[in-house]
Amino acid sequence: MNESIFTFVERCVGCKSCEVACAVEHSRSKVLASAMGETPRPRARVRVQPAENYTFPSRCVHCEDPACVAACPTGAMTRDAATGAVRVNEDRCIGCWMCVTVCPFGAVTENPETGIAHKCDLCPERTARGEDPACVAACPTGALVYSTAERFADERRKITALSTIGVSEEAPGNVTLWRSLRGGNQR
Amino acid sequence: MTSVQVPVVESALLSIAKKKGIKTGRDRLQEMSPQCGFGELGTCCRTCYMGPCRIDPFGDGPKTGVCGISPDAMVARNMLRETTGGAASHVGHARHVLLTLRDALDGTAPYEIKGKQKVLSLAKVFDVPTEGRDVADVCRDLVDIALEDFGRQDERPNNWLTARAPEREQELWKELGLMYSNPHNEIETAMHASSMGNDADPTSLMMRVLKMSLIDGWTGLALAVDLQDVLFGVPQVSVTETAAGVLEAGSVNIATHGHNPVLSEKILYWADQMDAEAVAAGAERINVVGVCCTGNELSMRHGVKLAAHNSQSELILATGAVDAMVVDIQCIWPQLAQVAKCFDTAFITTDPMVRIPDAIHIPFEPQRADEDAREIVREAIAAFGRRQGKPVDIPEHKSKAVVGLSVEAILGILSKVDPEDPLKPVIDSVASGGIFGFTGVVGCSSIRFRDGAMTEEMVKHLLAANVLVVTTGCTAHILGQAGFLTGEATEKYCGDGLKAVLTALGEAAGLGGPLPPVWHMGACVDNSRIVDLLAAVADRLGVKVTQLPAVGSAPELVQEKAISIGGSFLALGVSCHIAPAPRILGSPVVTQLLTQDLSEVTGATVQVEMDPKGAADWMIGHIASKRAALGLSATPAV
Amino acid sequence: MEVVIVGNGPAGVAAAEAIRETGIECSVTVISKEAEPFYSPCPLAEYVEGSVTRSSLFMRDGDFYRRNRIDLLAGAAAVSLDPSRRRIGVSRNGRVEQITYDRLLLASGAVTAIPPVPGLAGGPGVFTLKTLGDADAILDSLGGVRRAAVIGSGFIGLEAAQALVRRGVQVTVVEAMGQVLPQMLDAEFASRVQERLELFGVEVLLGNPVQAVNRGPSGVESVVAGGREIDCQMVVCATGVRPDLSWMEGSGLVVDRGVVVNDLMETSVDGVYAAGDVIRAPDWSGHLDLLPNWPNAVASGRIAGLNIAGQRRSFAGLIPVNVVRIFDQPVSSFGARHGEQVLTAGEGERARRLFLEGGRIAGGQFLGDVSGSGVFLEMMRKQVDAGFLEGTALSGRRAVAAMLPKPPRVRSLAG
Repeated sequence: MNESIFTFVERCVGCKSCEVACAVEHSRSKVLASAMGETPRPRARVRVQPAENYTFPSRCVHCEDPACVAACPTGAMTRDAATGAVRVNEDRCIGCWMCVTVCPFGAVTENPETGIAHKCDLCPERTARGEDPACVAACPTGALVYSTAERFADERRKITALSTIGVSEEAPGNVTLWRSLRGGNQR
Repeated sequence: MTSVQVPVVESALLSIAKKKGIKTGRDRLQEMSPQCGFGELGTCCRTCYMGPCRIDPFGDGPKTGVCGISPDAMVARNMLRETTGGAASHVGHARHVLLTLRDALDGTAPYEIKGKQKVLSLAKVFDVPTEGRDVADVCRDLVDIALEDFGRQDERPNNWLTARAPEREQELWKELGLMYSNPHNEIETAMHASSMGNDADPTSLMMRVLKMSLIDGWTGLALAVDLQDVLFGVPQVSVTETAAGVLEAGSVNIATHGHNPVLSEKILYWADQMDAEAVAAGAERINVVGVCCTGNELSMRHGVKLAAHNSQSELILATGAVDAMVVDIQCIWPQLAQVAKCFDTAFITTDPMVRIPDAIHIPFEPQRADEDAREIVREAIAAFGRRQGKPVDIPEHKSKAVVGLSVEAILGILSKVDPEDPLKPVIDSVASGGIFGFTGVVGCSSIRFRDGAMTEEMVKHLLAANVLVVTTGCTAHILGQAGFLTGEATEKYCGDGLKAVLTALGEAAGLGGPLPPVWHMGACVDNSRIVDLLAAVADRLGVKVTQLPAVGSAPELVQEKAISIGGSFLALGVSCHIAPAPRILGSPVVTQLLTQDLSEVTGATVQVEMDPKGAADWMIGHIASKRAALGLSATPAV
Repeated sequence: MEVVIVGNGPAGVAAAEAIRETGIECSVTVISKEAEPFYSPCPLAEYVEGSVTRSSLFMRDGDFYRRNRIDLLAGAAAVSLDPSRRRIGVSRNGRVEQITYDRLLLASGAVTAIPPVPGLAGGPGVFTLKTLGDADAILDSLGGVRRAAVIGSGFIGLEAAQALVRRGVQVTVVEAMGQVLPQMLDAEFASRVQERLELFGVEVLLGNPVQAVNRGPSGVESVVAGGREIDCQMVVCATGVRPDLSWMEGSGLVVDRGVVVNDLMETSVDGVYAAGDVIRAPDWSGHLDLLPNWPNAVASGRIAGLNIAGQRRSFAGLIPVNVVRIFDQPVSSFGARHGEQVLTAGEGERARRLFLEGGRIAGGQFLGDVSGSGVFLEMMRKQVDAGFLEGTALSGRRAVAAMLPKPPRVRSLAG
């Protein structure tokens, strides 16, 4: 089974480390200090978003039947049947934004500098070297994992089962407390 | 979110900003969110360059920093630095007032001693002889006592602390090793101890937090307020107006913003003197209004109208009607200069420590106070000239507000009921349950909570339970704008017991109506007035402050200063509600200490509660338990 | 089994690919009016403009048809349909032959709906921009063209206008309605698009249908609209599209402006399916509609292919989206252009607007920044409560959270 990026939402603390690591990985230098000065500016393809008192890294989920691929009129957006990765061929993309208009996750975005679509590409260079994608490697709490859907579902089931029978809590007490006290009346 | 009621002034100002395409703090907060959980938990350490280190709150990742520091020590160390930032702000403010007073006595700064009575009462506290002496001489002795605190290099306890703080509590602080000497040395020690490779014991660090908080309370707040009263007089009760509706389209509107009255007093004086220049420029008059705490200072002493609390400071600029916003120190959003640029508003910084890009900087020195203030007022008149012919959007809303309730003013009112024993009527009311207890609702105005009217909603619940509320700072603006600083609010919000007490007091004092249910005691530095009041009541009853049916609340925490002020209340034994959560939750030890174990030490705990009703319920319950311990009826009215 | 597909566009090719994906044994014959292999018509304006090469329009490699065992009858037009005998008449090289089928897919697309105006239906100097042939013809005729009139201000018209401007031609857009992009935007947003067009030198004439095309000895000389004569040497007619149904007459197929299909892409006649621009099909909410666009063509083609191959798969519904770039500024919209509640964020050339009905999104439009707009489309399709968007910046990425399960909310340390 193919590996992809999955999220344990309850472990995300919203630190945005994934955003920084993603932008750096998609830079020429791959070094934060110099990446910041590059043109075009390296951009993160993952954005941490609030959801009530939780946060989650919002990014491409590499759909099995991706709306963006169906919608792409230039053949730039493709899904690799072998790996399941949905990627943009930057040479074919003309920036018509049809993919942006149909992605239900808001995960394909316009790069205003290059005029082409950009999205999570599962870090092909890193994974070819046997490394985890940059966001996964940078996540300090294990909220992001590079795994197969089966392994992830197993893990998920285990956590839910254990917490249901009261063997372990989903998160330590102080984390639950912190989450419950986040924000203000504003949100 | 259910029943979120954006305060009326707020929504009017926000729609003005929106109409003009001006981004506000709310927009920036939205863009900023979500905010980093490590920061919120307090478990991000940037103290050294092996870091930054972050502790995995789920326990699977790093459990300590690279140097091995525990999350508990990390949290405590960060908290110490926050507290030191707050204390440094207040001590800096106090020292500025102190040096201005010294220069005034030397004749090098054009200020006179308006609070002669205050000099005499302080002299009594400090055992300074007054018989046959000139007030200036007495005052000089007080100045020397204060200056000595800043100069000494021994460990003898600080003069202002030992003379001004209640004695019973000092005994405890001595036991705990919290007595301090030179505040500057302590600030240095705190920064030193919290840098890499020093104090790593969370309990030790938290004791340093308490000590730093005492410095804030006594060499910050108390010293600043005492000497401001000496320079500018002790506040007395007056009636004014609050909210953005106090701006006047046809007048030169000068908004004074910040905390230090050394500047704003002079602006107010010269605005009065230069009225003719404004009239010559086509204005009806010069309208000096107050923003944030320097606004509170002017309002307390001169009844100056209060235009905006801190989080509205950018919003009133969006009216286009502010000709000059003159700022001194603390809580000055850099964004103000950018909003001012959209209009003819002269945004004027005055302190060398507060430089903001795109502001007009007119360095203000107490020695040249008159010249500098005149120049600033002239800038405002010029800006008024530029504004002519352009539309302004001033919201209609303004509320009446009774202000100026210094301890002296309160005792003045109470002594009309019982000249021999002014506190007696209050104490009797507490005993009978007419006053169930006291709450100091103080602190900042936070855009995180404004749209839910956190402070207002909480106070409504407190008043219904017959809890008397005193307030300071931006919280006082919020409550003023919502109409709580009036006798009408007593009728509207108070439980029967409190209503009867305030009505009786108001009539006895000859006010022709009830006292307001929320007493405006000043700026955020004026929290020392609340402490003085509590200390006086405790002293009169012969109990410790912690035994009083009293509780504090900072329902919309923004500034580090609120942390150090809160700490000074905790050291005194007064429990505090706070929202949002301080950055301690990444440490079970510190969380446990502040929310539970501290009660064994000083008698106080911290309670975090984001819901206004929940917060009020906790405070009422806390007061009830204190009443029970004193043998008083502990059943609240609601 | 013999499968015949009429049309070599996105719907036809998606269907053929889906059939091959299933592994079912069958022949697949694709009948194409055009001579070229499968290409994308969407970037044709960019091709005219010169920013996209001709070769990059082709969407599959040279081996595509052979590898997938697809018989491509290029340059062949379907001319008749006889469902009772399961055969269609195909005209090729002047001869009509009958081709039998077991399963037939009608994916013959749409043609430009040309208003009955003298001189507009064709002839030298008058073009449409629907096929690669149209684009090549425009490029061949550009020499000597200084001024052009574009009839219609839908997205094809505006893309054509922009392409011609970038080719150095002075362009007047003639629109019968009172605004540009009348099928995409409300009047206010349309006026901002119009401002941008004008900023780049396009003249926009609104509220005036074209009345005549005047020709002289050297070709087109002018068009007449609103009583005004507009000098031009070229006319591009972009007055919208309609399915070409003429050849299906007498076949017994139920048609209503388009070929009516159900959610399996089945027509009223057994064994005959339809997909792409030719269909009138259920939209996202179940209403029958005509919504010709690339995503609908690919999606419906794929569903048709799977059902032809015997894999019963239903269509999620047509999606009413459109996106166009106006001098590099993206403009997109979906769904309704009005609603009982209107939420707007941003201003000028960077703005977004959502239309709500009963607290649910009914449509949206985006100027300058279309990021996250797909999330709102999804919210409309799922009919998620959108009340929380009021007063926000209408960020789609942020709104994703609305479709996640709600976590519990505790707000006290008291426990």
